[in-house]
Amino acid sequence: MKNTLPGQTNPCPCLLGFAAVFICAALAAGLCSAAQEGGGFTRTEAVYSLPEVTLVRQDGASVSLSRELDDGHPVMVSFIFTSCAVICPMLSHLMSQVQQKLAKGGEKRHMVSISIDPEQDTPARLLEYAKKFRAGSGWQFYTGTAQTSIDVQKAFNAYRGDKDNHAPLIFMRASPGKPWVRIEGFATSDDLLHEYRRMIGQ
Amino acid sequence: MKTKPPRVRRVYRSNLIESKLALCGWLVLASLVLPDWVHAATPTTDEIERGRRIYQEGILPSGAPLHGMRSGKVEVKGPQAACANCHRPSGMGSVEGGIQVPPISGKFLYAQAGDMALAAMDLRGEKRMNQAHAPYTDDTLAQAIRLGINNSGRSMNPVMPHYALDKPEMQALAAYLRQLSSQWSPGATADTLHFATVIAPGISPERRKTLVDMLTLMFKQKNANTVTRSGGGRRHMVSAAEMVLGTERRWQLHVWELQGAPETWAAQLHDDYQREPVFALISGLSETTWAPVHEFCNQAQVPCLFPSVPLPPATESFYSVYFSRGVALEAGVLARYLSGQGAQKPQRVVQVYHDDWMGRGAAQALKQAVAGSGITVEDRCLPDVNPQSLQQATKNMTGAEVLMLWLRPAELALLEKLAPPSASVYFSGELTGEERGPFPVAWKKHAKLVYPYDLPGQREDNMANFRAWLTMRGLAVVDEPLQAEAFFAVNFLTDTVAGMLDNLYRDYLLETTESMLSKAEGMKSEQQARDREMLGKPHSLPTQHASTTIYPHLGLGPGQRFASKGAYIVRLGEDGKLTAESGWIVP
Repeated sequence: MKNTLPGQTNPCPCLLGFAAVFICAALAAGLCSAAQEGGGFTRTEAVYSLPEVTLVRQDGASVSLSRELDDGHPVMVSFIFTSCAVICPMLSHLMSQVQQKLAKGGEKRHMVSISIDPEQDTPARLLEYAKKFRAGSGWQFYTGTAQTSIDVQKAFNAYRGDKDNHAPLIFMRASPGKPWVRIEGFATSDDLLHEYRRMIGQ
Repeated sequence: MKTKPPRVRRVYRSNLIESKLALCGWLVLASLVLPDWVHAATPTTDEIERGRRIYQEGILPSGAPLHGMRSGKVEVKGPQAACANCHRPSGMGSVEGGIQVPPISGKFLYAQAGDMALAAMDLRGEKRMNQAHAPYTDDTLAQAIRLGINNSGRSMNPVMPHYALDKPEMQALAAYLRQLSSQWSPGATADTLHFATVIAPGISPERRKTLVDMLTLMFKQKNANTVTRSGGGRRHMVSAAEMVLGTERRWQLHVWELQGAPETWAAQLHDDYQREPVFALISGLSETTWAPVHEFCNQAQVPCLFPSVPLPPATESFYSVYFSRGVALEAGVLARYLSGQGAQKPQRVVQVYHDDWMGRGAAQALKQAVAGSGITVEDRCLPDVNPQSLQQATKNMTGAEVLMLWLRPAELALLEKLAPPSASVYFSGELTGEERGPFPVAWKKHAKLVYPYDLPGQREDNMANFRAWLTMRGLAVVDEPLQAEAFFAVNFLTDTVAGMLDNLYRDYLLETTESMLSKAEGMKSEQQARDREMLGKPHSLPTQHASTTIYPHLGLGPGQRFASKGAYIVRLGEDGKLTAESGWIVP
């Protein structure tokens, strides 16, 4: 199922520019400010079957992916690599902003970032990365073997063959058994919060 | 040899028409309001330096951090806001996912219609090569940087932050961009690219010959397939873009042989470089330190790609790229393997090594890697390696303990007359010359190797083309890791330089290397597997193919300088047949 919200455009960045200009030329500038500002994203819902795999958390602990995700509460997931220069810093800044905004409201935060360059991203590097984005106790980072990372990316339909070919993706799920909300493209932290609240029915 | 600026060539008629129209437009506009850049004085060195700090470091002339605001009110500042993160130090841009970060050096920003300002953004080929757009002015550049609106009036990708730079800051940045990557790097001329390979002292004549023969033959083959602007060569095995644009060059290999103590190498390298400034160092050989070469490359800003060295310096430098961390990686893998043994975890590891730079480096790496695991390490350092000292160093060990022997092939042979101890015995796969090393039979039965290469089976499959190449040229496999590393290094360089077209800048070579290594390897490996399938040769389709080298896979990323990051633990066995004792361990 695919929902389109006002102001959203195709996530392909090269098409985005054209689409935004075309729409802006046709409409008053104010009507398409969201498309320009947010860059546009698509929201879809999907049920993913996740593999039973072990990942290594930034504190070095070997943990089960499903147990890390299924704490009974809403969870937000991203795929990153620590040496990434373009997409990941943007996603992680967004996650960091969402974290702060949820904290302000006193809401529980559960965020998961999984490395797509696991051989480089040792727990020590992930810890350093977590500090850079001021990740609090509700935001954990995971590495593992190259194959495990690929398996998890494939389960989320996020595997693009090579880390440099990855897409900007954030996933969220209200609770175990519920579908995943897949945000592809560049949302703002307010967009993400809006989607999050909508998902948990607030 | 003097370098020349890239030549300007008019290519398309439509561009000529556009340029005339653009010129008319300009005359009209210029009569109304003269843009900043018309008045701009020649930038001073200080101004360019101020621009460099903004671009490369994210520091404003005031010393304050650069601030940028991405769409969605995501703020970036300081080094994270520096332009070079995405546009890269060379200004040649990058590709990540569906996002193309365009080249923004002066040559591309201000290119007039018809200029040959072209860059291949992605070796996969489906992403555009032509960077043509109307030339920027300093005013439209300021609009792009401050407001995210390009010179066609379109909003740029939301990943590009908006920067509130004031006029002098913009001028400094524009001055820096104008001169950034505007000249080919030394070692590149219109027709020739110069490379050198460095050989450290103490290498056996056989190993030296093996490497030099491989490189000479590969350069010869490359040149035989090259059509240069002054003609010659044959037209095949080159990229279409390279052929059409006429950016191919002949390659010349220089062999720089170092003599004497490592402290004197820096001066020798500088002398060699003075005589012949090379574009990059390729491959290379040392059985001891490589630090002076690493340092030289850092200082002279010369790329050094894939030397065959056992222990690269631990401090990463932008200019040097290695296959792996060598024996330091093996030490980390062994420590990780042993400390994960649960109830079988040994209490004590005894390590035996020659008292030289390499031996001490390996031993120190193991000690550091084991720290905190509850395993104690005892060093047995041998000033001289001979049967007596080895016998002394390998005794008094129990079956529950581990003996790590950091020995080279000549030292392995000295174990012949000694009985192996009851302890578990490990060797370095790299130092011994892998399973082909001269292991005495009695030791083979007990020996385990820390093995940084791919396992037999997959390895044969990955390296089928390499072996066929050796056979076709009548070369024997005498040192497969060294030959395979040199073969890969030159092939990778050939593909990478072809993709750079006429943008022969050293930092761009490194940026392309780090972003394309795993992609290029994956593509090439799959293509070779498909070719073998078509020819009815043995293959392992449809399993995943990721490598054409002796390593299971190679990959880098921005700032990463060690391409292979793990190793196996294997049992050697009396018949020399390897059995994996572990999966791929990444410490």
